[in-house]
Amino acid sequence: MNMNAIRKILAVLLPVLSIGIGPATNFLCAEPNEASFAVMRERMVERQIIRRGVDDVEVLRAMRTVLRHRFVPREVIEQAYDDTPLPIGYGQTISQPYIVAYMTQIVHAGRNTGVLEIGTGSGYQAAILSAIGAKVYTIEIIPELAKAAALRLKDMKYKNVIVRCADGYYGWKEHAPFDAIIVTAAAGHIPPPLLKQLRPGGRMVIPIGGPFMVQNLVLAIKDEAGGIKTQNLMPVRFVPLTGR
Amino acid sequence: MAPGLSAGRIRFVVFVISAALIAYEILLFKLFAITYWHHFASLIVSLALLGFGASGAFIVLFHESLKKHFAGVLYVSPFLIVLSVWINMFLSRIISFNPLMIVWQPKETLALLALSLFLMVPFFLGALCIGLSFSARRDDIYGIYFANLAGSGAGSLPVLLTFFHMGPYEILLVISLTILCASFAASTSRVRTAISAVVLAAAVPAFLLHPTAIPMNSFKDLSVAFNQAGARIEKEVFGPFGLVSVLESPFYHYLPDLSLNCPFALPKQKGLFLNGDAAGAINSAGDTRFMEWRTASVAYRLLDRPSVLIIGGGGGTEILNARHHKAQKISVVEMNREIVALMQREYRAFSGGLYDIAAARILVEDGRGYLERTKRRFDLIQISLLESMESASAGVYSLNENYLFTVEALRTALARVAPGGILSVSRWIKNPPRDSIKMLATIIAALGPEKAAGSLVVIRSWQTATLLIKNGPFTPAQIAAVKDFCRERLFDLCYYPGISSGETNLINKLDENYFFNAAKRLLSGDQERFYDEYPFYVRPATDDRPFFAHTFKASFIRKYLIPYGRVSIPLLDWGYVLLWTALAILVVFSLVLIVVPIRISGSSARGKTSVFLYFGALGLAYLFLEMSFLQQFIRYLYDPVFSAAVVIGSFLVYSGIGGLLSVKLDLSSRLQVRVAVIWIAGVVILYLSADRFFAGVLFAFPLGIRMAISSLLIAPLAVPMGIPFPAGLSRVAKEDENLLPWAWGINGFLSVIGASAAVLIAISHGFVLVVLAALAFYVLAAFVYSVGFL
Repeated sequence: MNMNAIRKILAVLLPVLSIGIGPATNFLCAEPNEASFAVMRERMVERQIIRRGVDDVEVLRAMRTVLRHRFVPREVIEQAYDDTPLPIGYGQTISQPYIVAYMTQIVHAGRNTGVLEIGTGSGYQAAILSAIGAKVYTIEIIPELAKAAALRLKDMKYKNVIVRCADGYYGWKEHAPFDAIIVTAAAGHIPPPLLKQLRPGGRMVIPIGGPFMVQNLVLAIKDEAGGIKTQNLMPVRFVPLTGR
Repeated sequence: MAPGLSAGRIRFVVFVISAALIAYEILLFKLFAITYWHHFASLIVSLALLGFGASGAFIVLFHESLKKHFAGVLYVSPFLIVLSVWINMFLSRIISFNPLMIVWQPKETLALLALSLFLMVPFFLGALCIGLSFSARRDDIYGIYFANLAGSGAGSLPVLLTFFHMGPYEILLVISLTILCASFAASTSRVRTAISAVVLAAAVPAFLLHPTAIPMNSFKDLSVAFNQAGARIEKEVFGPFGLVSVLESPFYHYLPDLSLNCPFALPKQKGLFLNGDAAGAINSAGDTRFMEWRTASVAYRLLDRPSVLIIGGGGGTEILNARHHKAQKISVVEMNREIVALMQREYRAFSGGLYDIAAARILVEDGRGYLERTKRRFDLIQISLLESMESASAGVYSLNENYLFTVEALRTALARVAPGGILSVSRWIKNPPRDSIKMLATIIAALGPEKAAGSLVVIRSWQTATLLIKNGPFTPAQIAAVKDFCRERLFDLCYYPGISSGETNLINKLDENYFFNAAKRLLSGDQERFYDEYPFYVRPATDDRPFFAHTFKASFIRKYLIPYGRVSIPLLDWGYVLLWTALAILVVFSLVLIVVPIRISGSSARGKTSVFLYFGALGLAYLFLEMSFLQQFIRYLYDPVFSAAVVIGSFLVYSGIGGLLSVKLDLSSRLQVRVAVIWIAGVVILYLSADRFFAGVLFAFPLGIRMAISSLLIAPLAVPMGIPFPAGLSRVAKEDENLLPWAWGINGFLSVIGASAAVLIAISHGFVLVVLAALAFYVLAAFVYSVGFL
């Protein structure tokens, strides 16, 4: 075969072969161990959360202690501490670490507060709330996710979390009122029944946007007289200019 | 000449393959809009079309051997095209591509490229047959050109019409069988004919085993809702606008503008989805008092038993609203006939007969088209919120022309509002607000700031805004009623005549008082500075730049992307960004595949620059004009499906005829090209200046006659557009045949680039500039031709 023919064949094949290089590198990389996950977790807290203005000591402690990599599917475990949301199956995601930390801070969840979560997903948000000492009632509408999250949280010894597979639209009357409500699986609107289950002075937060694109957070606050006001908070607004 | 293959047979093969390829392209676009999202579908299909240009590069590289085996290539290619088409269907299911992760995970870009590369294959093979036919039959360039364009024109028509009756896989089956027929014409022996017959006979039952469900990204609204416990897809219909699905779920709840204070429970709802994106809900008949707790209901507080026109009937929420408020007469415009049919049959009982013709006038047509043609006046015209928040916030529709939300359309709508009546428009509120502010700007531009100041009311909930425009000034009693309405429902007042800043942004607090500030500045004549200073593009949409959902502005990069990094990415309009991405990829790939083969082949041909300029300019010019006139004619027909079929089909068929006619003209080819360009320029200028006249005259006729007249109007423009390409190709064939496939490839690449570039220019400067740019490219081509290639 002459050089010209080889050159012609390579001209056709090289672009095709280059497509395979990316996935092939995955096989060559070893999975990180617990120690390296701990390093990643600390780096996540320092770079993604503290730098962006989250300063609640309890929230930061929880973000440092909860093993986020145990809440993500095996295929994306290496990215567990990256500054990104990740898919967890069934069209759901585990939120970006910073969004989880920020939502926990702005609803004023703390020790012995009753928190209702709508959309358990992987159970990570519930674990963070549990780690700061809140009593967590979490509802998931997708049976497979609810079952897996309940098992995971039990395995990881998060005792103050109750998982229920149901429609979160109507809240959880038996345990109402709640000090805080976090709605991670927003429907087409804020369900009025949920607001009724919020204690006077309580706060509710809903992330708005696409599955991987939280554009803003809507914070609903119930005053002591039962009046409701909302605030529209844009994630970029909380980020200090140095926090890139 | 290829042994055993007559000119007629070659033309037939080219005709069939061209028809099948364009049908496949349209089908792919529809399928990927369902599997992924509209804007990603555009990106994937644009990249796949690189196969056209790549075929030219391939012929340049292997010119001699391909020509030697021309008949064999023509015979085998149809089988390979069909095989690759079905392999692609399989691969597009197994290649795990999640477009939403593309900014977070680099491997998604690789998946996108892999998907596009596989999809490129059928286009590459088809274009290889066409390009090689030009090369092998240099004596019949005009005939092959005619077959190519006529085939493409014919292919664009039936595929659009078959959407009325057939699902995507059935259409793909028809396309496959059509392509296989080409192998009979390309057969040079009885054995080959027998093989074709066997393959065709075997293909039918094999194709019948095709999958029936269309794969859908797991993050689409429908996929997510389907995962709910007890959810099931109750009904699915494939139509010209895509896939309509109805979801039955015990837990489906959808009413975006509902008050947080609403004391009434929602009724049982079924989810309505278009291409997997939420398109509202079908409400069951029952207690409808919740309707009084929506921002969209504020107009009913001000009007007593109005006659109502609802634009965008969807699942019937606004019809139910009108019924609840005891509207005197209800007219509904819904252009998706599948939704109308579902509501009138399967969901008639569930919805309480909302679409019954005894209860409402149901008009299956485009909203703008109806407003243009009707002479009726209504007390209330309501334009409902149909797309989902996810689609709106991702900028999915930022590239779509929307002729309902332009200054001209709103003027027409306001002319249909009876004295004292109201036009009510609801939009999502993003943060910072974009399209809702753009709607405010468009309304004020339509009405004029002075008139608008007394006739405008804007209210909002935590995520939707409703704008009211009255035919006449609002009275103090009406303003008091609006205030009461908002107070009870926790809605914010944004603007009413005489409002003060202290009354706004109190309940649902935005970080800035966007709406009040925007209204004040737009009404005080400070609009130009406001448009410049606002971080998003909120200048009013017009018929020349009808991209209402496009709000991206270059200053976004300075204001958000650079200081905040990827936290700001969710604020981007993805449709627009992806179009630039597609254009960049197309340009880079095209340049590489144009330059590298000619270098590798070691061709010593002179005149490469002239050939590049000539065929590149023609590719861009043709697509620029075709895209612009598609846009112009949508306004004559006001039906995107019929417009696309009529305009694309007519352009291609008439251009093919133009090519054939030019052979008969007793003119030198140089003169032919010059005359063609002058002719094109004359017709374009005439049409641009007579645009309103044509629109006015055409509205007197029903759609069928409008389609026929539109097609005839295209003929004087498209016929001369068919002359320069075959004239150039014939000349290249005479002067240096080695450059012929190269010219074919250049035209292919630049045509694909032209389609994306035309939209980008139209977004930033309007379609008139696209038309003028097309004329400039034609003049350039005529100049290059008159100077000579070599």
